[in-house]
Amino acid sequence: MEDTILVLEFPIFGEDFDHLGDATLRIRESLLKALNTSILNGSIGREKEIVRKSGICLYEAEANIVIHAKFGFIKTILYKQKIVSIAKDIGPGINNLILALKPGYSTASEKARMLGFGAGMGLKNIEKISDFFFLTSTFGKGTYLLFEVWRNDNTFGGVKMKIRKLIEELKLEVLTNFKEEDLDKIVEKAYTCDLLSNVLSKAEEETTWITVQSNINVVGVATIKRIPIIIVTESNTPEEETLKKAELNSIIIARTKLSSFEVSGQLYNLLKKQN
Amino acid sequence: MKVEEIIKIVDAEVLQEEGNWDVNIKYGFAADLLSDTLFVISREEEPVLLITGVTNPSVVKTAKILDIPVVLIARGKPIEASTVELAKKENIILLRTKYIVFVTCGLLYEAGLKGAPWKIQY
Repeated sequence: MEDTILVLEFPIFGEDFDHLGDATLRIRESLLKALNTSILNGSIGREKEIVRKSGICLYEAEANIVIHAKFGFIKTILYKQKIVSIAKDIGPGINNLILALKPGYSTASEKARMLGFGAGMGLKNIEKISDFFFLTSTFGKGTYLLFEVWRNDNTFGGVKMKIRKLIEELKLEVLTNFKEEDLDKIVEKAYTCDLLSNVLSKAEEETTWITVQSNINVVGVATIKRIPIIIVTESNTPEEETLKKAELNSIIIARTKLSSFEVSGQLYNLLKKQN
Repeated sequence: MKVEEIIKIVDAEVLQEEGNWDVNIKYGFAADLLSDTLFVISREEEPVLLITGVTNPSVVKTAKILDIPVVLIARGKPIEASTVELAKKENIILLRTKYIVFVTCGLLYEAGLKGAPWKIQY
Protein backbone atom coordinates (compact mmCIF):
# COMPACT_ATOMS: atom_id res chain seq x y z
CA MET A 1 0.00 0.00 0.00
CA GLU A 2 1.43 3.37 -0.94
CA ASP A 3 0.35 4.94 2.32
CA THR A 4 2.57 2.62 4.35
CA ILE A 5 5.28 4.47 6.25
CA LEU A 6 6.70 1.78 8.51
CA VAL A 7 6.36 -1.94 9.21
CA LEU A 8 7.72 -3.46 12.40
CA GLU A 9 7.55 -7.06 13.50
CA PHE A 10 8.83 -8.85 16.60
CA PRO A 11 8.67 -12.47 17.73
CA ILE A 12 7.35 -13.01 21.27
CA PHE A 13 8.13 -16.10 23.30
CA GLY A 14 5.78 -17.57 25.87
CA GLU A 15 6.90 -17.40 29.51
CA ASP A 16 9.67 -14.94 28.58
CA PHE A 17 8.75 -12.52 31.35
CA ASP A 18 12.20 -10.90 31.38
CA HIS A 19 11.66 -9.42 27.94
CA LEU A 20 7.99 -8.65 28.30
CA GLY A 21 7.49 -5.14 26.99
CA ASP A 22 10.73 -4.87 25.06
CA ALA A 23 9.03 -5.25 21.71
CA THR A 24 6.44 -2.67 22.67
CA LEU A 25 9.10 -0.21 23.78
CA ARG A 26 11.00 -0.65 20.53
CA ILE A 27 7.89 -0.23 18.41
CA ARG A 28 6.97 2.81 20.47
CA GLU A 29 10.37 4.36 19.90
CA SER A 30 10.29 3.68 16.16
CA LEU A 31 6.79 5.11 15.84
CA LEU A 32 7.79 8.29 17.64
CA LYS A 33 10.83 8.67 15.42
CA ALA A 34 8.88 8.02 12.25
CA LEU A 35 6.10 10.41 13.20
CA ASN A 36 8.53 13.10 14.25
CA THR A 37 10.37 13.00 10.98
CA SER A 38 7.30 12.41 8.91
CA ILE A 39 6.32 15.21 6.59
CA LEU A 40 2.75 14.45 7.59
CA ASN A 41 3.55 15.57 11.05
CA GLY A 42 0.59 17.30 12.63
CA SER A 43 0.71 18.54 16.16
CA ILE A 44 3.23 16.85 18.46
CA GLY A 45 0.61 16.40 21.17
CA ARG A 46 -1.67 14.49 18.86
CA GLU A 47 1.16 12.21 17.65
CA LYS A 48 2.21 11.49 21.23
CA GLU A 49 -1.32 10.56 22.12
CA ILE A 50 -1.75 8.03 19.32
CA VAL A 51 1.64 6.49 20.07
CA ARG A 52 0.61 6.28 23.71
CA LYS A 53 -2.64 4.57 22.81
CA SER A 54 -0.87 2.12 20.50
CA GLY A 55 1.76 1.46 23.16
CA ILE A 56 -0.73 0.53 25.83
CA CYS A 57 -2.60 -1.81 23.48
CA LEU A 58 0.64 -3.41 22.27
CA TYR A 59 1.88 -3.93 25.81
CA GLU A 60 -1.35 -5.65 26.76
CA ALA A 61 -1.21 -7.80 23.63
CA GLU A 62 2.42 -8.69 24.23
CA ALA A 63 1.67 -9.60 27.85
CA ASN A 64 -1.12 -11.88 26.67
CA ILE A 65 1.23 -13.80 24.39
CA VAL A 66 3.94 -14.13 27.07
CA ILE A 67 1.44 -15.21 29.69
CA HIS A 68 -0.70 -17.59 27.68
CA ALA A 69 0.94 -18.72 24.46
CA LYS A 70 3.99 -20.71 23.43
CA PHE A 71 5.02 -18.39 20.64
CA GLY A 72 3.65 -15.49 18.70
CA PHE A 73 4.49 -12.23 17.06
CA ILE A 74 3.36 -8.67 17.11
CA LYS A 75 3.42 -6.57 14.03
CA THR A 76 2.75 -2.88 13.70
CA ILE A 77 2.17 -1.03 10.47
CA LEU A 78 2.16 2.72 10.40
CA TYR A 79 -0.02 4.07 7.62
CA LYS A 80 -0.60 7.67 6.72
CA GLN A 81 -3.99 7.57 8.41
CA LYS A 82 -3.65 5.01 11.18
CA ILE A 83 -1.52 2.59 13.17
CA VAL A 84 -2.55 -1.02 12.68
CA SER A 85 -1.22 -3.72 15.00
CA ILE A 86 -1.60 -7.47 14.84
CA ALA A 87 -0.84 -9.91 17.63
CA LYS A 88 -0.94 -13.53 16.53
CA ASP A 89 0.08 -16.56 18.51
CA ILE A 90 0.32 -20.30 18.62
CA GLY A 91 -1.22 -20.84 21.96
CA PRO A 92 -4.04 -22.42 23.84
CA GLY A 93 -6.59 -20.16 22.17
CA ILE A 94 -9.48 -18.63 24.00
CA ASN A 95 -12.25 -20.96 25.07
CA ASN A 96 -14.87 -18.29 25.44
CA LEU A 97 -14.37 -14.91 23.78
CA ILE A 98 -17.20 -13.23 25.63
CA LEU A 99 -15.78 -14.34 28.96
CA ALA A 100 -12.30 -13.22 27.92
CA LEU A 101 -13.61 -9.71 27.31
CA LYS A 102 -15.23 -9.54 30.72
CA PRO A 103 -13.32 -7.22 33.07
CA GLY A 104 -11.52 -9.13 35.77
CA TYR A 105 -11.76 -12.52 34.12
CA SER A 106 -8.30 -14.07 33.84
CA THR A 107 -6.68 -17.42 33.35
CA ALA A 108 -3.17 -16.09 33.96
CA SER A 109 -0.65 -18.14 35.92
CA GLU A 110 0.50 -17.39 39.44
CA LYS A 111 3.86 -16.27 38.03
CA ALA A 112 2.22 -13.69 35.78
CA ARG A 113 0.19 -12.36 38.69
CA MET A 114 3.29 -12.09 40.87
CA LEU A 115 4.82 -9.82 38.27
CA GLY A 116 1.80 -7.58 38.31
CA PHE A 117 -0.03 -8.94 35.30
CA GLY A 118 -3.11 -11.03 34.79
CA ALA A 119 -5.77 -8.78 36.26
CA GLY A 120 -8.03 -9.75 33.40
CA MET A 121 -8.21 -6.27 31.92
CA GLY A 122 -5.99 -6.59 28.88
CA LEU A 123 -8.40 -7.39 26.07
CA LYS A 124 -11.05 -5.11 27.50
CA ASN A 125 -8.49 -2.34 27.68
CA ILE A 126 -7.43 -2.79 24.06
CA GLU A 127 -11.07 -2.78 23.02
CA LYS A 128 -11.63 0.40 25.01
CA ILE A 129 -8.63 2.34 23.73
CA SER A 130 -8.42 1.32 20.09
CA ASP A 131 -10.55 2.73 17.32
CA PHE A 132 -11.05 -0.66 15.73
CA PHE A 133 -10.76 -4.02 17.46
CA PHE A 134 -10.97 -7.51 16.03
CA LEU A 135 -10.38 -10.73 17.93
CA THR A 136 -10.68 -14.30 16.79
CA SER A 137 -9.46 -17.47 18.40
CA THR A 138 -9.54 -21.21 17.88
CA PHE A 139 -9.47 -23.12 21.13
CA GLY A 140 -6.42 -25.35 21.19
CA LYS A 141 -4.76 -23.56 18.28
CA GLY A 142 -4.17 -19.87 18.73
CA THR A 143 -5.41 -16.33 18.80
CA TYR A 144 -5.44 -13.52 16.27
CA LEU A 145 -5.92 -9.99 17.47
CA LEU A 146 -6.00 -6.86 15.34
CA PHE A 147 -6.45 -3.33 16.53
CA GLU A 148 -6.16 0.09 14.99
CA VAL A 149 -5.46 3.52 16.39
CA TRP A 150 -6.51 6.24 14.01
CA ARG A 151 -4.72 9.47 13.38
CA ASN A 152 -7.36 12.13 13.57
CA ASP A 153 -5.54 14.80 11.73
CA ASN A 154 -7.46 17.39 9.83
CA THR A 155 -5.91 16.80 6.47
CA PHE A 156 -9.00 15.43 4.78
CA GLY A 157 -10.94 18.67 4.69
CA GLY A 158 -13.42 19.64 7.31
CA VAL A 159 -12.87 19.31 11.01
CA LYS A 160 -13.36 16.28 13.19
CA MET A 161 -14.94 16.96 16.49
CA LYS A 162 -15.46 15.06 19.71
CA ILE A 163 -19.06 14.48 20.66
CA ARG A 164 -18.32 16.25 23.94
CA LYS A 165 -17.47 19.41 22.03
CA LEU A 166 -20.43 19.08 19.71
CA ILE A 167 -22.85 18.86 22.64
CA GLU A 168 -21.22 21.87 24.22
CA GLU A 169 -21.19 24.01 21.10
CA LEU A 170 -24.75 23.26 20.03
CA LYS A 171 -25.96 23.54 23.65
CA LEU A 172 -27.70 20.17 23.42
CA GLU A 173 -29.61 18.53 26.25
CA VAL A 174 -28.39 14.94 26.60
CA LEU A 175 -31.22 12.58 27.43
CA THR A 176 -29.45 9.23 27.68
CA ASN A 177 -26.99 7.98 30.26
CA PHE A 178 -23.61 7.63 28.64
CA LYS A 179 -20.10 6.44 29.25
CA GLU A 180 -17.17 8.84 29.23
CA GLU A 181 -15.75 7.09 26.17
CA ASP A 182 -18.91 7.76 24.22
CA LEU A 183 -18.22 11.48 24.53
CA ASP A 184 -14.73 10.96 23.15
CA LYS A 185 -16.00 9.49 19.90
CA ILE A 186 -15.24 11.62 16.90
CA VAL A 187 -17.76 12.92 14.42
CA GLU A 188 -16.98 14.71 11.23
CA LYS A 189 -20.16 14.37 9.25
CA ALA A 190 -23.86 14.80 9.76
CA TYR A 191 -27.02 13.70 8.01
CA THR A 192 -30.36 15.38 8.44
CA CYS A 193 -33.38 13.28 7.56
CA ASP A 194 -36.67 12.13 9.07
CA LEU A 195 -37.24 9.19 6.75
CA LEU A 196 -35.73 6.12 8.35
CA SER A 197 -35.44 4.23 5.09
CA ASN A 198 -33.46 7.09 3.59
CA VAL A 199 -31.05 7.10 6.49
CA LEU A 200 -30.68 3.34 6.19
CA SER A 201 -29.82 3.47 2.54
CA LYS A 202 -28.04 6.79 2.13
CA ALA A 203 -26.46 8.03 5.34
CA GLU A 204 -22.78 7.27 5.76
CA GLU A 205 -21.77 5.18 8.75
CA GLU A 206 -20.72 6.87 11.99
CA THR A 207 -22.38 10.09 11.08
CA THR A 208 -24.29 12.47 13.33
CA TRP A 209 -28.00 12.12 12.71
CA ILE A 210 -30.33 15.07 12.99
CA THR A 211 -34.03 14.28 13.00
CA VAL A 212 -37.33 15.33 14.43
CA GLN A 213 -38.27 11.67 14.95
CA SER A 214 -37.88 10.12 18.38
CA ASN A 215 -39.56 6.72 18.25
CA ILE A 216 -37.75 3.48 19.01
CA ASN A 217 -37.10 2.59 15.37
CA VAL A 218 -34.70 5.50 15.20
CA VAL A 219 -32.38 3.61 17.55
CA GLY A 220 -32.60 0.51 15.40
CA VAL A 221 -31.47 2.44 12.35
CA ALA A 222 -28.73 4.21 14.32
CA THR A 223 -27.42 0.87 15.57
CA ILE A 224 -27.20 -0.56 12.08
CA LYS A 225 -25.46 2.55 10.74
CA ARG A 226 -23.18 2.81 13.80
CA ILE A 227 -24.45 6.31 14.45
CA PRO A 228 -22.98 7.53 17.75
CA ILE A 229 -25.32 10.47 18.36
CA ILE A 230 -28.86 11.37 17.40
CA ILE A 231 -29.93 14.99 17.70
CA VAL A 232 -33.66 15.23 18.20
CA THR A 233 -34.93 18.62 17.13
CA GLU A 234 -37.86 20.87 18.06
CA SER A 235 -37.82 19.67 21.66
CA ASN A 236 -39.39 16.32 20.89
CA THR A 237 -39.38 13.92 23.82
CA PRO A 238 -38.41 10.32 23.11
CA GLU A 239 -40.10 7.57 25.08
CA GLU A 240 -38.35 5.89 27.98
CA GLU A 241 -38.07 2.71 25.89
CA THR A 242 -36.25 4.57 23.12
CA LEU A 243 -33.73 6.03 25.54
CA LYS A 244 -33.12 2.66 27.19
CA LYS A 245 -32.49 0.96 23.88
CA ALA A 246 -30.12 3.75 22.88
CA GLU A 247 -28.15 3.39 26.10
CA LEU A 248 -27.92 -0.34 25.53
CA ASN A 249 -26.32 0.35 22.15
CA SER A 250 -24.04 3.17 23.39
CA ILE A 251 -25.92 5.71 21.33
CA ILE A 252 -26.34 9.21 22.71
CA ILE A 253 -29.67 10.93 22.21
CA ALA A 254 -29.53 14.68 22.63
CA ARG A 255 -32.27 17.22 22.27
CA THR A 256 -32.47 20.78 21.02
CA LYS A 257 -35.19 23.38 20.86
CA LEU A 258 -34.02 24.40 17.41
CA SER A 259 -35.43 23.11 14.16
CA SER A 260 -33.58 20.59 12.00
CA PHE A 261 -32.71 23.39 9.62
CA GLU A 262 -31.11 25.57 12.28
CA VAL A 263 -29.12 22.80 13.94
CA SER A 264 -27.93 21.56 10.58
CA GLY A 265 -26.75 25.04 9.74
CA GLN A 266 -24.90 25.47 13.00
CA LEU A 267 -23.28 22.05 12.85
CA TYR A 268 -22.30 22.59 9.23
CA ASN A 269 -20.43 25.70 10.20
CA LEU A 270 -18.78 24.05 13.18
CA LEU A 271 -17.51 21.15 11.07
CA LYS A 272 -16.34 23.46 8.33
CA LYS A 273 -14.37 25.79 10.58
CA GLN A 274 -10.66 25.66 10.01
CA ASN A 275 -8.37 25.28 13.00
CA MET B 1 3.88 18.85 43.07
CA LYS B 2 7.58 18.76 42.31
CA VAL B 3 9.65 15.61 42.71
CA GLU B 4 11.72 17.22 45.48
CA GLU B 5 8.56 17.83 47.46
CA ILE B 6 7.45 14.22 47.11
CA ILE B 7 10.84 13.08 48.36
CA LYS B 8 10.57 15.34 51.40
CA ILE B 9 7.02 14.33 52.26
CA VAL B 10 7.53 10.56 52.23
CA ASP B 11 11.20 10.67 53.22
CA ALA B 12 12.14 8.89 50.00
CA GLU B 13 15.55 7.89 48.71
CA VAL B 14 16.41 8.38 45.07
CA LEU B 15 17.28 5.10 43.37
CA GLN B 16 17.63 6.55 39.90
CA GLU B 17 17.90 10.25 39.25
CA GLU B 18 17.98 10.54 35.46
CA GLY B 19 14.74 12.10 34.35
CA ASN B 20 12.63 15.20 34.32
CA TRP B 21 12.86 16.92 37.71
CA ASP B 22 10.90 19.93 36.50
CA VAL B 23 7.75 17.94 35.97
CA ASN B 24 4.78 19.08 38.01
CA ILE B 25 3.03 15.94 39.27
CA LYS B 26 -0.68 16.45 39.50
CA TYR B 27 -2.13 13.07 40.42
CA GLY B 28 -1.18 10.01 42.42
CA PHE B 29 -2.09 6.45 41.53
CA ALA B 30 -1.32 3.42 43.67
CA ALA B 31 -1.42 -0.13 42.31
CA ASP B 32 0.44 -3.39 42.40
CA LEU B 33 -1.32 -4.66 39.34
CA LEU B 34 0.27 -3.23 36.23
CA SER B 35 -2.63 -4.25 34.07
CA ASP B 36 -4.94 -2.21 36.31
CA THR B 37 -2.59 0.70 35.92
CA LEU B 38 -2.67 0.32 32.15
CA PHE B 39 -6.44 0.23 32.25
CA VAL B 40 -6.98 3.26 34.43
CA ILE B 41 -4.27 5.63 33.23
CA SER B 42 -4.81 4.83 29.58
CA ARG B 43 -6.26 8.19 28.69
CA GLU B 44 -4.40 11.41 28.15
CA GLU B 45 -3.67 12.85 31.56
CA GLU B 46 -1.42 15.27 33.33
CA PRO B 47 1.68 13.82 34.98
CA VAL B 48 0.89 10.96 37.36
CA LEU B 49 3.01 9.51 40.17
CA LEU B 50 2.85 5.73 40.29
CA ILE B 51 3.06 4.32 43.82
CA THR B 52 3.65 0.58 43.79
CA GLY B 53 5.18 -2.46 45.43
CA VAL B 54 6.18 -3.98 42.09
CA THR B 55 9.96 -3.87 41.67
CA ASN B 56 10.71 -5.76 38.45
CA PRO B 57 11.54 -3.97 35.18
CA SER B 58 7.92 -4.27 34.05
CA VAL B 59 7.08 -1.37 36.30
CA VAL B 60 9.49 0.87 34.34
CA LYS B 61 8.13 -0.36 31.02
CA THR B 62 4.61 0.35 32.20
CA ALA B 63 5.62 3.83 33.33
CA LYS B 64 7.32 4.52 30.01
CA ILE B 65 4.34 3.42 27.97
CA LEU B 66 1.96 5.53 30.06
CA ASP B 67 4.27 8.59 30.13
CA ILE B 68 4.56 8.36 33.91
CA PRO B 69 7.69 10.36 34.82
CA VAL B 70 8.21 9.19 38.42
CA VAL B 71 7.75 5.81 40.13
CA LEU B 72 7.68 5.55 43.91
CA ILE B 73 8.38 2.10 45.35
CA ALA B 74 6.68 1.63 48.71
CA ARG B 75 7.40 -0.57 51.72
CA GLY B 76 11.15 -0.04 51.29
CA LYS B 77 11.29 -3.04 49.01
CA PRO B 78 14.62 -4.19 47.64
CA ILE B 79 14.74 -3.53 43.95
CA GLU B 80 16.35 -5.44 41.08
CA ALA B 81 19.42 -3.87 39.50
CA SER B 82 17.88 -4.43 36.07
CA THR B 83 14.94 -2.22 37.03
CA VAL B 84 17.23 0.67 37.98
CA GLU B 85 19.24 0.20 34.82
CA LEU B 86 16.15 0.31 32.63
CA ALA B 87 14.80 3.36 34.47
CA LYS B 88 18.08 5.12 33.75
CA LYS B 89 17.86 4.24 30.08
CA GLU B 90 14.23 5.31 29.84
CA ASN B 91 14.63 8.50 31.89
CA ILE B 92 12.21 7.58 34.63
CA ILE B 93 12.95 8.81 38.14
CA LEU B 94 12.82 5.96 40.67
CA LEU B 95 12.12 6.70 44.32
CA ARG B 96 11.74 4.44 47.35
CA THR B 97 10.02 5.06 50.63
CA LYS B 98 9.87 2.93 53.78
CA TYR B 99 6.22 3.74 54.34
CA ILE B 100 3.51 1.29 53.29
CA VAL B 101 1.32 2.21 50.32
CA PHE B 102 -1.55 3.38 52.51
CA VAL B 103 0.56 5.77 54.55
CA THR B 104 2.45 6.98 51.46
CA CYS B 105 -0.85 7.86 49.80
CA GLY B 106 -2.14 9.49 52.96
CA LEU B 107 0.89 11.71 53.39
CA LEU B 108 0.93 12.82 49.76
CA TYR B 109 -2.81 13.42 49.75
CA GLU B 110 -2.53 15.52 52.85
CA ALA B 111 0.17 17.55 51.15
CA GLY B 112 -2.10 18.30 48.21
CA LEU B 113 -1.48 15.58 45.63
CA LYS B 114 -4.82 14.68 44.11
CA GLY B 115 -6.32 11.35 43.27
CA ALA B 116 -7.10 11.01 39.60
CA PRO B 117 -10.54 12.48 39.03
CA TRP B 118 -11.67 10.22 36.24
CA LYS B 119 -14.38 7.65 36.78
CA ILE B 120 -13.67 4.10 35.82
CA GLN B 121 -15.95 2.54 33.25
CA TYR B 122 -15.95 -1.11 32.32
